[in-house]
Amino acid sequence: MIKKLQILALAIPILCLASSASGQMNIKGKVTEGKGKPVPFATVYIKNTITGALTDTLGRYSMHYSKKENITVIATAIGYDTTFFNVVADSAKTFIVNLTLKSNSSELDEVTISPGSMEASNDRKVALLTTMDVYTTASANGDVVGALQTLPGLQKVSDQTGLFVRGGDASESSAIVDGLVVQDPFFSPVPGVAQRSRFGPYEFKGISFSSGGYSARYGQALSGILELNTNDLPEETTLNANVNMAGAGLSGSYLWPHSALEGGFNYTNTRPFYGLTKTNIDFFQPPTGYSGSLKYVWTNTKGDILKLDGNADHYKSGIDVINPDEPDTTLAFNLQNYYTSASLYYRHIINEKTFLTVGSSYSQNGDTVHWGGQNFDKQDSRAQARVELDKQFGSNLFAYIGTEIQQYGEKQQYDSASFSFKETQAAAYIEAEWKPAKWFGLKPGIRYEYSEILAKSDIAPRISAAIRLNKYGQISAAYGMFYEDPSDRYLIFGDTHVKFQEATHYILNYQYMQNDRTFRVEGYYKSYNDLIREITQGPYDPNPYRPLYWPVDNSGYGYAKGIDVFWRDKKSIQNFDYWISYSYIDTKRLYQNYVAEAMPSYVSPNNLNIVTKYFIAKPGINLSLTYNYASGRPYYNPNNPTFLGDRSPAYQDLSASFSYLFRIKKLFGVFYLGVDNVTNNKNILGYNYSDNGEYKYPIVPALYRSAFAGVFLSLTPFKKDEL
Amino acid sequence: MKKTILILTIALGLLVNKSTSAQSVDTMLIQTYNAFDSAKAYPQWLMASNQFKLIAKQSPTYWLANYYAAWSIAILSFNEPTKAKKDPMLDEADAFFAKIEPMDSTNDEVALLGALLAQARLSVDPMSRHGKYGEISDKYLAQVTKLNPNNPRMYYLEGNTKFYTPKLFGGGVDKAQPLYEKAEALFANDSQDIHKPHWGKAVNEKMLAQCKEKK
Repeated sequence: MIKKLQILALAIPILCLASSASGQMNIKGKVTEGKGKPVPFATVYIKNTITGALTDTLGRYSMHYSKKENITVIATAIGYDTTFFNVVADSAKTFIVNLTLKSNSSELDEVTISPGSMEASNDRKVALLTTMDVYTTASANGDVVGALQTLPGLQKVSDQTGLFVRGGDASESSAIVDGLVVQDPFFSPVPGVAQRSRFGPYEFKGISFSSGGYSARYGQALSGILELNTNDLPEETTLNANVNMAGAGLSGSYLWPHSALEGGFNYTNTRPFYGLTKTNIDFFQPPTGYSGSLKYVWTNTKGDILKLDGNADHYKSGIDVINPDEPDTTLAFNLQNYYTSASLYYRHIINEKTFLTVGSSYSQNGDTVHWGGQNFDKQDSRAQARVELDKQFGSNLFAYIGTEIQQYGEKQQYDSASFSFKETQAAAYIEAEWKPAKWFGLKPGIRYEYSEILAKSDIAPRISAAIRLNKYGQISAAYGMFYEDPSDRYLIFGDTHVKFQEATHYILNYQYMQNDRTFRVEGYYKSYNDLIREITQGPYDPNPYRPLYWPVDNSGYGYAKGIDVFWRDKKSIQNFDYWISYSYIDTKRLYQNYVAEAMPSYVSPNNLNIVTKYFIAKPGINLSLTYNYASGRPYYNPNNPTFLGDRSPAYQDLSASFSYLFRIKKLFGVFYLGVDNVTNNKNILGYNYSDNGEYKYPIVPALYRSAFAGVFLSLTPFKKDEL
Repeated sequence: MKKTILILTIALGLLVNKSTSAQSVDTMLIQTYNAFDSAKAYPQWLMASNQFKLIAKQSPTYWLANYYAAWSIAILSFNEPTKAKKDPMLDEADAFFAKIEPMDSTNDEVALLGALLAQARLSVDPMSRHGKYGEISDKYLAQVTKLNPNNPRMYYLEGNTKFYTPKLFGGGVDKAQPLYEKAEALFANDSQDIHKPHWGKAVNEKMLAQCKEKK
């Protein structure tokens, strides 16, 4: 018996030895990336088994495999391409397998080149804002431009219509939708009352605002551009209704597997709003009108996309505005406007590294104005086409080449006098984005432009670069030359014997983004040359509607320099998001009919915006409070020997908004209420003087405190099995 | 003779334990689940979650393996310190979940996992996602109510929603506590069988303790 046991006792270790000889492997090593930097917490495992390990903070791992056979060791980690190594099992017991991971995340920690611009996008993880941020900002009143004015670089000017970027006037910026220039992005100007943009809420998947140094893709804007990209396919079929104090509308989208049709109709009647609000000027006929739009989107499985879009709107209004000749009196300003536009956008993927984009649009705008007993009619239109080819070369070079043709014109009639112009511009550009290392990027570009009406051409070089300092911070810089035609006001009076106006931008920017906190500081210097200057004989005339019967030349010039600071924190307090933006600008120009170099009247040297939002998920409530401070703007005082030497008082505005999201089965709704200028601050934007210079009359915004409310409802269709 | 048999059995047992291919998937799941449950630091959770993922890759048609892979990633994502990594992680979880969702529409735990994944997505960026993912989470929780109104995890998730909503807007500790208490009572009925997911008891107790502390 004992003998048997002994044999068995011997047998056990032999059996055990036999099994260990038949297979075990110790695999260990280090996982690194790029220049030997270790990757902590990477996953290493053996293909087709459950044997795996994690690397430690030094990138080291070790695992024990209980068989001996040829294996494949795989290493993966988020932000990197998976890599593998085949191990041939020889007589060794330990195998050292070191693996190198290659980064694939262009967004997690790669450098991004975008000095001078701020982006709001739902796609990009490194965008500073999402489109929802834009729409939930108090003081914006659902207008994209209103919300962007709380960011550094874009100045809010309550008595003038347009985009005022870093000391530049409204004619020096462009709005671009899907790569196509928008001829009339704002509703027709009414003297003394800033008009909102024509852009509706929720149309865009991306909003990029550039206050300088923008891409070679665009031109003819000395100061900056607003770039908007419309949504692709809607998420589902919906029917929407909205009712508010300025009218009501119906819209909807029908979604097929690869295409969709969207349409909307809106009736505007601002009578309830102006009826309830105390206004500083008389809206004897509050704006009323209607608009319609239709959009068709087609895609295929390759990723090609086609968008066809059409819009038409018509409205009329009657407002008593300040008489520019006698500022203590008013004149009735009656306006009727017709606007139609159609556009096409097509992106075709040729192969996975190449795609082609084609865009074309036509728009027509007509204003019939009856002002102080005189008729002024204006029609303007624009047709354009653009083609661009984009190609990726290797893994770190991306380049595109494109060409565009723009044709725009304007016709004006005052009683029997008639003026018109038609301009055709052609341009070609080439630009590249080169990232030789993950931490360094360079974006050189060049643009050629030709103007038929001026019979002149220009070549505009642009370059920007960015260096990523560490995981969270990067520095970028930009230099560029920008050319622009004289503004339409000059072209229509036949001032075409001049050159392009020119601006040179220098920008330096530092940005820090960590999880939910963003800090951004940007300094810039812009020099303006060849600005149009009116060679007038008389004294300065502050009337912006003065007829331009005298000659002009390019002897105007100016500069703008300043610093913008932006800080956003979504993290410190739960459910609370705020941003602070501060801009300082020092700018002077000698242009138009200025008699000396001066800071223009639409500039506030110091601008502060504090935007706060508080959000509660259940029930969906969004509260927003916005404070805006702008230091005094220059105004013309004929008694002051220093031209534009007087300053208005500072502008302050506190606005609040509340929105409540609710859902009842398939019905989704948003109720919103906004109050602008909650404290009813009696802001003064400047002064107009009487002809003899004795009396001055304050220029005030059209409204002080005002309230606006509305409801938006969205219905998605029931599926059969959910009824 | 008895001794001989005993020694042989032990020897055979040792041999069998050395060869992993003889272990059943369920045993591996139990081991990994215990590792996940008793983990004290993030790397330990990550290690256990990776194990679940490897097991699921080896048994792609077994709903339970895919369930634990997706579930462990969801729990991990709430604690992942780098925000930018959360969405790619949840993309992986979605891939595992996509395998099981069509398999079984009568399993309340699968629907509940759907709600948990939606809540994980929502918490990455609550302000812009509460509309879309709030709706998805509600849809799944409604399914759970229909399939099994006594699922303790459902009350735990609903308790969480109330806990993080301010009192002024219909939430607060007073509204959350009864839900956690209901969950606590139902957790007692949970089976400890690996085939019947029974997570949440410990964290529910923690939330309940927080409620009592705040009062």
